[in-house]
Parts: sequence; C-alpha cells; structure tokens
Amino acid sequence: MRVVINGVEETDDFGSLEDLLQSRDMDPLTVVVEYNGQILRHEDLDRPLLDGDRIEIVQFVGGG
Amino acid sequence: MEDPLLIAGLPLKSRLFIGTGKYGDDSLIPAVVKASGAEVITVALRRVEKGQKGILSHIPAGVRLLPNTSGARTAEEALRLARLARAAGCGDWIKIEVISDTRHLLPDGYETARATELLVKEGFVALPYINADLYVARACVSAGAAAVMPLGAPIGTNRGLQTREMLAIIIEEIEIPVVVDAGLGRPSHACEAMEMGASACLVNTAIASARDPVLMAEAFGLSVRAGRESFLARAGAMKGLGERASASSPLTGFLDGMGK
Repeated sequence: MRVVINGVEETDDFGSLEDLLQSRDMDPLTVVVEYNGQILRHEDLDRPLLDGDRIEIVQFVGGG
Repeated sequence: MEDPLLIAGLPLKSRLFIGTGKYGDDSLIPAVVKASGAEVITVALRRVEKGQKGILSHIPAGVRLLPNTSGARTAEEALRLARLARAAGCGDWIKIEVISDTRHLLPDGYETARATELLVKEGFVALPYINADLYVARACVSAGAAAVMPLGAPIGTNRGLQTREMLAIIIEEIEIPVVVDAGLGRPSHACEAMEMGASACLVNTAIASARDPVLMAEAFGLSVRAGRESFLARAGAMKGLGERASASSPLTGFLDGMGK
C-alpha cells in the first residue's frame, strides 16, 4: 500500500491512522491530521489507511 | 490602573504579545511568558517531524494562543492552515500571515486582505499581519479583522520603527486595535510605538535572541506599559529644533548678585 505522509510517499501496511501515529510516537491529542484534504476529529482516527491516501500530520511549533 | 485592551470582546491586561519562535531552549518559554506578563502568545503550525515534540507543553495555562498562518502564500493556504489550527482545539484566534517573498518576508497585502475576508466568514478572530499601509489596513477592517498588525521593520531585523510615519497614520485613521508587529528590536522601540498610540506590540526575535531572554521579556513588558501610560498621560508640547528653552525652575526671586 502506497500512502503520502507529510509529502513523502511511503510503502507499508500502516493499519489505521491511530496505529500510524502510535508507531511514530505522535500524540493524537496534540497533532492534527488532514486526511485527503479533510481535517479529522480525534475520534475518527481509527479509520484504516487506503492505497493512495494523502495524510498531513501537523502540530504547533514555536513561531512569531 | 485599569486600561484593558479589548480584542473581540476579550479584555487583556497586558499590551505585549509575544512569539515562541527562535528560542535556543524552548523550556525557557514559561519563564519568558511570566516575566513579560503577556497574555497572548503566537505559535506556528508545521508538519510533525519524527520524534519532534510540539510547543504546547511549554505554554502556560491561561494564555490566549494566537496561531499564525506562516507558510501560506495565498489566502486559500492561510484558510487551510487556520482550519488546522482551530482543529487543534486552542481557540479561533488567528494571526494571518501571507508571504510569498522569501527574501524580505514582506506580507502580501492583497492576499492578506482576502484571507481576512475568508477567515472572518468562517468565524475566526482574524488579526492580519500587514505592511504599514493604510489602504491594506482599511481593507482588513472592512473584511472584519479584530485588529491590524502593521510591521515596524522587516521581520526578525530588530531595526525598530522604520515605518514610523506610516504607523502614525494607521493609528490615527484605523478604529480597531493596532498592534505593532515585527522589527521591534529594543524595549525603547516598543515604548515609542505605545507612546505613539499603538494598542499593543508583538515581540518575538528581540526577546528570543537576547542573551537573557527572561530579563528582556520583563524589560519589554515594562516598556510597553510605560509607553502606554505615557500615551494616556498626554505628553506636553515639544519645542522645535533651536527654539528658545523654557526653564523648569522659577526665574524670579534670585539672591542678591545672582541671576544678573
């Protein structure tokens, strides 16, 4: 399965978005996930990833 | 003295907003926030890099988060970033920042005004970062901005109030709060902006790049307050260059042989 995560194409069996975040040590409560252009609510992160999905995972960082 | 700044109905005691970028050590941020007295703090939104922790854990409870849309080059990109920021669950205040010029980092007035319109329609409290340009400021006001944030000098330059004349015009003409943002490099710059009648100042680089950011944060807090009180106190008239001086002590009642 090929998925674009934060602009990088990756091939793997990712399971759900929740699994993906967990495997990368990302806290679902402090990141925001955009799934194919749609912002997901935290409770919707159990959605399985499908071939061709585009995921953006963002968080707040220092800025002016 | 009670003199709150009202933004979108929220009363703020401190007229200093601070940024969280460029700190060598983010763990300084809670002490910086406390020393500055700031109640409004800016943050940016970025892709999560593996193992990278966000900034939220360093931000004390009770402050108002002001996420910016840095990275946006168009109004639509600003809207996308604003929606993501709101989804993070930290309120609906947004500093609109739309920049496509990567060398001078000057905000694009046209796209910024358009972004303001888009965001306000979606219920955001929009604080656009703009050039010190009256027409852009007016366009943002018409679009429903909660405040305008004109720059004092290009961002991160610490060069102070290079746009002084234009800021004075904006302060004179614009009815909503005017927050001087970008370029303020010294507490004296912020103080002067406040004496000119700015509603608030936003400072990041000058504090973050100081040898002692916590002490500098305190200095900025004091200077913004001093400038505000000076503005409210209404300074006496300034004499022209070379004009006759005016004694502070009486010129009468000298002792014999003096004052002749």
